[in-house]
Amino acid sequence: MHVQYPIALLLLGLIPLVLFMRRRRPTARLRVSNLYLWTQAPPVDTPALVRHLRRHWILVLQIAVLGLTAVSAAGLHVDGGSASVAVVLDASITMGIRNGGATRFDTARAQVNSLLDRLPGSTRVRLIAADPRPHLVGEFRASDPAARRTLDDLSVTDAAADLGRAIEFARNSSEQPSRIYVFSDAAPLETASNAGIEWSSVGGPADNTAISNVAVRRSVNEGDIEVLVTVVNQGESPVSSELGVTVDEETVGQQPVSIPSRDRMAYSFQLRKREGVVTAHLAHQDALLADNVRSIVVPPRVNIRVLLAGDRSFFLEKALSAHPEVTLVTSAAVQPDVTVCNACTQVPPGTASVLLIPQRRGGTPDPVTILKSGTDHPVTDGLDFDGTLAIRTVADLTPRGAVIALAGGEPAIVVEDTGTRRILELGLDSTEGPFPLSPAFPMLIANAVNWLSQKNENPVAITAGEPLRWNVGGQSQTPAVLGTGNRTVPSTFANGILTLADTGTAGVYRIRLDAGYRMLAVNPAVRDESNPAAASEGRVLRADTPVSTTPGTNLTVLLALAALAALTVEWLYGLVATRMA
Amino acid sequence: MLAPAEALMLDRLTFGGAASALPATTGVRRARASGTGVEFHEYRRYQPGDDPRSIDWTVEARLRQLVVRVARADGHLRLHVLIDTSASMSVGNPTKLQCARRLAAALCYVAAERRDAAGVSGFRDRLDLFMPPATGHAQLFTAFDLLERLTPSGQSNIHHSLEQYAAIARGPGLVAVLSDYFEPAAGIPGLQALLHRRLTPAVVQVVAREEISPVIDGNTELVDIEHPQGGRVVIDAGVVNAYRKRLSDHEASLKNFSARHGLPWARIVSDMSFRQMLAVLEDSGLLGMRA
Repeated sequence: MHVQYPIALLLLGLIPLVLFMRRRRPTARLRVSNLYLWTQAPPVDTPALVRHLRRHWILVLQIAVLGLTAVSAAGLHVDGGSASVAVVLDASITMGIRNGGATRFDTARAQVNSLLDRLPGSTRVRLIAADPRPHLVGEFRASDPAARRTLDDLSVTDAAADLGRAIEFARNSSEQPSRIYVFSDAAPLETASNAGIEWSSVGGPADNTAISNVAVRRSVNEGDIEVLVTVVNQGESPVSSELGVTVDEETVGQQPVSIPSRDRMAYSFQLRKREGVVTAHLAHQDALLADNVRSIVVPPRVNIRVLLAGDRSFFLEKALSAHPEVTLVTSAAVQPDVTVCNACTQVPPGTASVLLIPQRRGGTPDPVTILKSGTDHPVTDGLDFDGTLAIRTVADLTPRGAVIALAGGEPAIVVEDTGTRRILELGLDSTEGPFPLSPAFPMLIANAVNWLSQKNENPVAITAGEPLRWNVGGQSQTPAVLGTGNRTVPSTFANGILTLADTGTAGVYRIRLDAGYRMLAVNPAVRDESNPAAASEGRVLRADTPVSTTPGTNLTVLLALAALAALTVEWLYGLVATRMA
Repeated sequence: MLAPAEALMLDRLTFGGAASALPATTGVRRARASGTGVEFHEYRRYQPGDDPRSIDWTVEARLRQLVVRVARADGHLRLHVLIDTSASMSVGNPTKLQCARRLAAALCYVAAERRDAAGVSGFRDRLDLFMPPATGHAQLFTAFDLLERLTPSGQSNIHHSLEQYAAIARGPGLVAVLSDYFEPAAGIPGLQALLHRRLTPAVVQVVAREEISPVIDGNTELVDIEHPQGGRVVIDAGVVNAYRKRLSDHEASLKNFSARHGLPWARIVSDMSFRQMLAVLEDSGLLGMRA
């Protein structure tokens, strides 16, 4: 139930005036010889309320006339069986693209407002913002002005949107919506054609160029930094522009770039002995400016001490020596970070992490194909075995941890984290066979040493919308995270793990630790977001069935008639009373 | 005080049955008790010691039985007329007090004509005017003069006033109490006090027409005439029926009390004609036709 013109209810304030006038109305005065017969006159068995109503029924009638008139003028509306709908509003980075002066997000917001105007006022609307973490912005009635205000407060993020997840979020809410309205610049999902989804596409095709990747590494020369910048052109025409690199906002490199249409180019910069935040800028005015900037923090230099134990392996030693951060130690007197034990029968004692290659048993078996298991793991990150053959050292590698690779269908690489040390068991021969000669072998060893040393695990750059998880053990106080504009970003800190969920805004974040500030680059989402050419403005995918809403009842006329009837009765009473007088 | 025609009507009247039961001094009034009067009262069997002159020989001749004629005793009545002069008696047209004055004058006239003793007293919340009963026409004119000077004012307290009168008046006698009896106990305790002092009260309730059938149009503010600065009640037509029932109950309590003690009870409406008032008093037994 709601009223359309609440201001009309101010008429109810006249009711005390009626009472006042009634009270002030001149009354006949009669001198009687006693009052007690009068005061005791009302029968005691009648309730006081009934007595008052009976005595003042004409006053009650007048108040009823005024009340009914006020409520009628206010447009009282009794809601029917209100429907529940969900509005999924894409808040991804590409919704910030301007088409004709207004951003796609502005267009979508106007369409949502138009939808709210079309829906029955009693319809409950769940407003869901679609970003990497779809969340409920609020639930309102369609006629509620708060819905418009909340819409005005929404803004786009620098992250990608997971529309499928947002739709599932809307569908799995406490009350199943009878209709899901999606406003996005993305093409309708295949699953959107059913289950009452109405998809409105906003924005037209546009050309865009973006910096898709910035990577840094320390060059062989001590202290130099190599920066690799990848620029992608999603447009229909080639792009020529300037690409600059700054370190801590100081320009350190600049070069012209020319990228053919629908192509990508990589550019490298050699920086001497620099550390800090490296930012690449593309000076090109395109549809989406947010992805023309990308940063990365030069990771601190680390030194991984590796102790080689067991039998010597040429390929293993070469792979370790190719790792720029590895220092081989020969004496156990120096506490190693990682112990590489080749042809060992058991895990060496100590606290250092261990790369264990079991001793080969039996004759020469036939090489078998290596395959990654379904589990993603930093050790196999970026590796492509591509059908590489390897010789298993043992036929029955006992999986004490997680199996991350298989050879011939049997566990080949098993990782285990005991909490105090990490153990990687490699059940493949590192001395002969195709595997030690393949490109995957040194990468596997490098990844294994990195993982085992537990260093360089904290990312220095993430994509907006991705949650951040930093291991900052040993902290005495909760780290503070300052985002762009020095705004405090909410974070959680438990068991030495700092978790940051709100990374929707791109920029350089500062994390205050005991040892000082650490930097983190949050970059705009590019992979699925920097190609706005596919957008189809105005495309609407209608749902199959209309929203089933039971219309409410407007009581304005009914109440007006009731007021008129009451007024008529009051008038007739006055007329009859006058004639009787 | 009384018109000649009214006086003529009163000449035919005497006090009724209630007065007959009273012990009285010798007079012209027919007493209920047998005595030395001349008016035949009854026959009874002859008993030794009876005056032989009272034997009715005609009966003995017919019935062969000795019976004696018993005559009524003749006596004088002491009439006390008490008039409520409180402000509530100013209600009505004519006012209740005017009506009560005429009633009192009529009763005094009847008493004087029958050579009974009559006295008039007035009361409000207490007895404030006292004229003991006496015989003679001079007393009648004195009573008329006193009645002329009565004005309604003040608050009434019938109960207290009757108790006060019972304390100073001597019985036996007939006390005609002329009031509206509008107080919660209807003055019954005062009437009982009179009975206790061997005085026979005659309850004459004088009410106004507007008190019996009030006309209420819309909200009406009621002002207690005896407490003009006190309680006020705003009522409407919805309570009239309840008021009437309450008034009826009030009158019934008085009537029942009178019937229980064999007392005359009359309700006089102030706008009644003199003839109607006398008829009501005759019906109540306070007055009766002379033999």
